[in-house]
Amino acid sequence: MSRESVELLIDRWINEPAFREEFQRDPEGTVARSGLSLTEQEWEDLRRMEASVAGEALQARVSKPYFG
Amino acid sequence: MTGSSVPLDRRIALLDAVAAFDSLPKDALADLAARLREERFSAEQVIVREGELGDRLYLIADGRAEVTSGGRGSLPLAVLEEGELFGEVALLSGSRERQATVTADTHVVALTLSAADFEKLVRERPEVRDSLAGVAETLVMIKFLKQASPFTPLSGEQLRQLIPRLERRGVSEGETVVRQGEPGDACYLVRSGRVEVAVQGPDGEERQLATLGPGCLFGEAALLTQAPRAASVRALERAELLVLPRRVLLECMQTSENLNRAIVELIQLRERPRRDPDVELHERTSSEGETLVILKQPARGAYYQLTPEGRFIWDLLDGEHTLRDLTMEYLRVFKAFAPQVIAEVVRGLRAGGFVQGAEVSAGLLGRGSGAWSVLRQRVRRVFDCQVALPNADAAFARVYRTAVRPLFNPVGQVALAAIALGGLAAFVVAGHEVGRSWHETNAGARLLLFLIPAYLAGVMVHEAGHAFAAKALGYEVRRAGLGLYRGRPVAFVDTSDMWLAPRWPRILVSLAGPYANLVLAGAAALGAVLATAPAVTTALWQFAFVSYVAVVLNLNPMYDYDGYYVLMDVLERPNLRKHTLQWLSRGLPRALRRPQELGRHRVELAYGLALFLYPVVMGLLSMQAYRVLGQHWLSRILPAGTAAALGGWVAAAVIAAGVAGVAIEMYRLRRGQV
Repeated sequence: MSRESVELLIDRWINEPAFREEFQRDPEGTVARSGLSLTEQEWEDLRRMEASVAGEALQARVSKPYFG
Repeated sequence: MTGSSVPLDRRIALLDAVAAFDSLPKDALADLAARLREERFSAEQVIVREGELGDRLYLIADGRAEVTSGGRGSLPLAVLEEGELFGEVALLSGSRERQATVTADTHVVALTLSAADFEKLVRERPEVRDSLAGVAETLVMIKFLKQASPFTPLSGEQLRQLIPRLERRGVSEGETVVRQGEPGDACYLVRSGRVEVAVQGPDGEERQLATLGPGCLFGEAALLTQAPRAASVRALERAELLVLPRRVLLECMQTSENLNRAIVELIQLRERPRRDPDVELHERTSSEGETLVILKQPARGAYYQLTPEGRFIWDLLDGEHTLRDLTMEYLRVFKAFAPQVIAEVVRGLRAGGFVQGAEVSAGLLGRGSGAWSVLRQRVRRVFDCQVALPNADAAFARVYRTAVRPLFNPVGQVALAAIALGGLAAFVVAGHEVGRSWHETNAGARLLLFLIPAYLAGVMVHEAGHAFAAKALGYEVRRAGLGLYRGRPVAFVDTSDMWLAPRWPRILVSLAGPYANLVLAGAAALGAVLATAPAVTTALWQFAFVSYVAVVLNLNPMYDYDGYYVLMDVLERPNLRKHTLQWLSRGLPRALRRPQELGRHRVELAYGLALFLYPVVMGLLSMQAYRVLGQHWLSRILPAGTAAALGGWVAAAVIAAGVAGVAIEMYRLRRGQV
């Protein structure tokens, strides 16, 4: 995936809500329909888009005891 | 002409009411009416289909039809009723291609004009062509705005009203539309062509931020943040833009909560977030050996956990990197294309106040100003209100140093354990004394004078247990106080600072509350054994009983009590309930098709099952409790059969309420409302 192609892909992801939704449902199909041609390694990178959770807010630890 | 259910005078009247035919004299209208063919369509029948070639114009004489694009139901554009025309877009365009699908909502009677007759009409009457072209252009514009723009959430009617307020502007290649640093009074929607967004750094060097194509909005951030333009935009080729003045954009946003959300999201996805310099960064190692970073926002008391990938993103939040930059860097290092993951991390960090970014002026949006929303907020304020102890941490630290510290040394702990275990043993052996009634002791209601303060003391001791355990381990007690939680009176202690601690100290602090009650119950049970006055003995047994029940209830891991925090920490799964419900609603259907995924989500599967089984168990216990405590009493005033059947109803109500509560929470999580 050339840098320019990826940047274009990200720009569309950021700026076009409809593209973002379509990408969420079917990333590979959406990229294929966008006209970008990818190598096998690049497809692998794309399939890894749902990487492990990178971060999350920790809920407040507030004790509110249950006494009926 | 086929069929005759629409008489000629009615046809003329219908044509006369069409604005495009205003200029036609009566005889021309009569001639046109005579050329119309009548066609009938049943409900749900497709009248014209998008993409097919058009060969006639339609005028609805009776019924209602829906205009959609991309298949029925996928993108509603408009609803057509009696007297409205459709099909003119294809006839006016060179390709003759239908631009939308029209489907009968009800039984529809339409009058149609052939393409040949239509061409003859517009050739002889150019003003009709012009008028119809205007209508056609509106429909094409609605389709454009609906299909590929942030305005998708607006209804067809809202878009129809918006379109006349949009100004068209053609720009030539290289022309600058928006200049960095200037104030903004309008934003722009790209109708055709491409534009480039670029920013000039302090060194004067220009950097390209994005390339935008048809359907993309730009210039909106300056309107909503009231800051100068953050970047320049210039045309990469000849382009057509739709100009939205600030007032028009704000009015649109106020009519649609979804549009509001879409525009704010767009601004946030485009900004260059910067770390808040006051955020503290703490590292700890998970049970799996992974180095986690816990961020603490001292001003808000918020905590955020980052994996090594998240830490990588955090380090790049310097106010210079855009989401595009972050995604490119992430791809380079982790070989994964993850704009969604990165955007979610940045969104979460912004929500917790860990990063600074563009702040949309809340007053401009009018969000949540509806009567229902205001009422909901007020009710929540009444049922969820708290009064916090000022400088709680300093107060607990002082009391801990001066009085409580000895309880946390080995001798103190052995003494507390002896009381807890000794008392528990006494309760097990002689606990049947709990059943002795107040009447038997001749103490009557006077016992309440002991039990109520003792009960309140139990609550305070529970909270103090958490707070002093946190202080003993060297962590902060952020807040403590009294208040209402979902309408229930509570005392509370916030030990969120324990997120900075390793797993076992966190578990100890969560267990310290129920343990304090266990010690108190033990002391009461031992006191009951030693006391000689029957009234005192009974009061102490009853207090011990209540305290043991409180210990069990607070160790319940199904709800937001101490047991839940213990379970989260044992499993090292923060936000376990939220993750479980999210996985059940989104991941489970997929996992059912891939058994190996079920194995990877054993915890969510087990906890999810428990969440749904718990109300069932509680329902059955409620039925049992009713049979023991309530049925006998009710059978005095109700027929025996009815009193017996009520047990089943009690169980059903408890199960239904519990399962519905979990299902609603799941639904709200899926909709992103939590």
